[in-house]
Amino acid sequence: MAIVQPKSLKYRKAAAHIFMLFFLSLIMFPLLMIVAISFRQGNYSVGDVIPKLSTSTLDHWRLALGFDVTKLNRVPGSVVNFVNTDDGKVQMYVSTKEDDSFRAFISEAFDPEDVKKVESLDDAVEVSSSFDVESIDSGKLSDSDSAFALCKLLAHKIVVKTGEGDSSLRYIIDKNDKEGTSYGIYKETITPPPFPVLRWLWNSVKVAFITSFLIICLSTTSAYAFARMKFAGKNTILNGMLIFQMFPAVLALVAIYALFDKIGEYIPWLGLNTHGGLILSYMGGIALHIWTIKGYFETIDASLEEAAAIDGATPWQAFRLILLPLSVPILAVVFILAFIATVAEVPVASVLLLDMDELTLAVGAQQYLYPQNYLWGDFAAAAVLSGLPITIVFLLAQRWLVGGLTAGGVKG
Amino acid sequence: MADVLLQKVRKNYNPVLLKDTLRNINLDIKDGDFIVFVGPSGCGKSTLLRMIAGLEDITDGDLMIGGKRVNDVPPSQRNIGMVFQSYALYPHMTVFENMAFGLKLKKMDKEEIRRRVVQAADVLGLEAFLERKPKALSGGQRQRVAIGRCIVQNPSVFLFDEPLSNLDAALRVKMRLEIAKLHRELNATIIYVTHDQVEAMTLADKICVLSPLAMNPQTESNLEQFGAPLELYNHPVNKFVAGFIGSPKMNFLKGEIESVAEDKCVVKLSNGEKITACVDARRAQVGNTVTLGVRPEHLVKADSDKADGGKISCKVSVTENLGAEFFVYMDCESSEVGSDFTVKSDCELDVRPGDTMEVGIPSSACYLFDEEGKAFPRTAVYKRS
Repeated sequence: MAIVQPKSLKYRKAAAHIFMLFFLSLIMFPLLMIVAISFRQGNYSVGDVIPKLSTSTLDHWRLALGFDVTKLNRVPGSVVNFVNTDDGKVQMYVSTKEDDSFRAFISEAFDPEDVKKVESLDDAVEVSSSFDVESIDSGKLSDSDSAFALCKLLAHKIVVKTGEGDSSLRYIIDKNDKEGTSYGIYKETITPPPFPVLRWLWNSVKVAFITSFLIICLSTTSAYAFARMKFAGKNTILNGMLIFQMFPAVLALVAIYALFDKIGEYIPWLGLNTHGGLILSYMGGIALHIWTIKGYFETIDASLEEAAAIDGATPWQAFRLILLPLSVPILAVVFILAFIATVAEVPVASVLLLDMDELTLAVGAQQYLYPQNYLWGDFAAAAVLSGLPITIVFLLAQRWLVGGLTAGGVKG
Repeated sequence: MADVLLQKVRKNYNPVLLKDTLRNINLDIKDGDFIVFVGPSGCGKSTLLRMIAGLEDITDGDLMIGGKRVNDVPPSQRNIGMVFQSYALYPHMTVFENMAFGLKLKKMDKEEIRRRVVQAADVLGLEAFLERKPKALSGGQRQRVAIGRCIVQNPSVFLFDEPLSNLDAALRVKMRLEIAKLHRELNATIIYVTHDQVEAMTLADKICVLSPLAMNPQTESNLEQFGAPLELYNHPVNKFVAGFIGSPKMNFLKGEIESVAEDKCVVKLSNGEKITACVDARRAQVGNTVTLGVRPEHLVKADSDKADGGKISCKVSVTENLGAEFFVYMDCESSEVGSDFTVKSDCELDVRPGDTMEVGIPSSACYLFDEEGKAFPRTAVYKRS
């Protein structure tokens, strides 16, 4: 500043900066919590803010992005032993107690030497097995030391498959504890992603983009009329619009449902459970945008459009060729605001969209919150995903948020 | 090129309040004339210009351009060009695009557009600036671009709305000469609005003086006088025009008629002094209240032989020495406006504030106005030598 300041300014500036940093970290804290939750094993909402590596997992993200999650679950009460065949091969014999019933299966014969070469679980040798367990010759069973040695050798390198097709199960030998003092049988469970999160993300982005674009079209033309034209009742309509918009859409959910139900009878692609209908319902929320754009238009000297009129431009041409190019910053602002509002909107979307595949991300993420069992981890991953399109749009729109567009046009 | 004819034009912004802005304007502007609208703030000169342009509706009356009634014709079809006070250049377009905008809208051939724009740029000295944006130009250059934007359209009437008021003094003089040159070269009908009477007196073929209706709401028309500059200077029809034209303002002195002759009239001022004026006051009677007007630049030294009208003696309040001119502001009891009495002299006078100075009034330099402000016809005109 050019003005001479008292000496205490230095300290006041430092205090202001410290306060700002504190305030910013306060604002960032919930975001960090959500990100931490999405990496935390299990579906808990409490825990460390910075996730510990040992309790971190990518499973929530895998489910959110459409990948299956494979887990190894210990089969309770299982005993694994090996039967030595005559030709030097080995058969794995497993007995388990699942679902209170006793089960046993025996694998095909295989050569441990072949399996030894396997590097990782992905390349594991798969052997089929049969439940048809004839009596085992106890003389052919390995003793406990050899069995332990074989377990250690074969852990994560061999997969025993039971059953056929859809009902097949895969069993793997794995350590029971970190040190490997004992081994057990683990069943591989594959969890498919429960909800089509990426599809929801695409739905959100699609609906938000189209809505924002249409909102810009409607509100700029309306704002032009309010800013530049003279007609009866202008102020009444403006203030009336604002007052009506003060009532949130949540109050009218029943009415909205009934309305779109009716519309759907005549125009199918605008009815319930369609994105067209959802976009149409968002078209009503433009009063605030009209006010914003109208205010901006009023800062642009009307003599520019008068000069255009004298040059031969129709009102539409003056609007499109002169006023719009000069209003690019406010258009970017309105686009961003409308985009954020649409992506985050829950009540109306939850009423109008019914099919799982049609949901937007904001509505769909709530599916993770079963009444007795909030799946916080998966929910957090979906929530972070919904912030991504907004961030990208915001960054891209920076280009157009420039000032001084009308410099040089008019004097004083 | 076209004539512009206004017949009984009236403008009322707010019918509910029944307050006219312009009333009964009748103007006959001939092809190729340079007409200047002058008047104080609020007199409606910009409104009148905008009505001719088509940017405002005409409440009553007819506007003819080139013989055709254009009241309901939109601005783009009236074949006019307008230069705004604030230039109104399109900030997001280059100078070339600014000038080409109107032609592009008419879907003219690109080559033809280029030819016209370059030609106009040459006339105005803008060749070097064609690719610049308005924010990179100075005020005078911007004004020239605005003029160029009009020229390329070849309009029949040019309208200027106080174009020089945003320029500094030196640039104003330069641009004034350029506009005069432009008028000669294009031989166009130009209507020019200004509150600066120097521009009015120097540029105009005819001046149109307008007065604010608020000043005299019952008047029949707020167009006070329409005539050549010197006509307005030497033979103003009323006190308003007399006081408006000429800087510094004419001195007005209260008095009453003492005697009337065919070509002279003796006026007794309220402080007793008698002044002889070369006016024909036969329509008035002895004893009528009148106002005597005399311009500051026409006052002479009391002992000069030109002071045949009379003398007046007042106390000096302020003196201003501009080098080229010398102003003396005096307090005079008979003055109508407060007590101001101004003297403008070419040579330095040896007076100081507080002195009493006697000035001489040539009888041919007097103007006389009746009680309502209407002028009596002058029988002689003072020529300074």
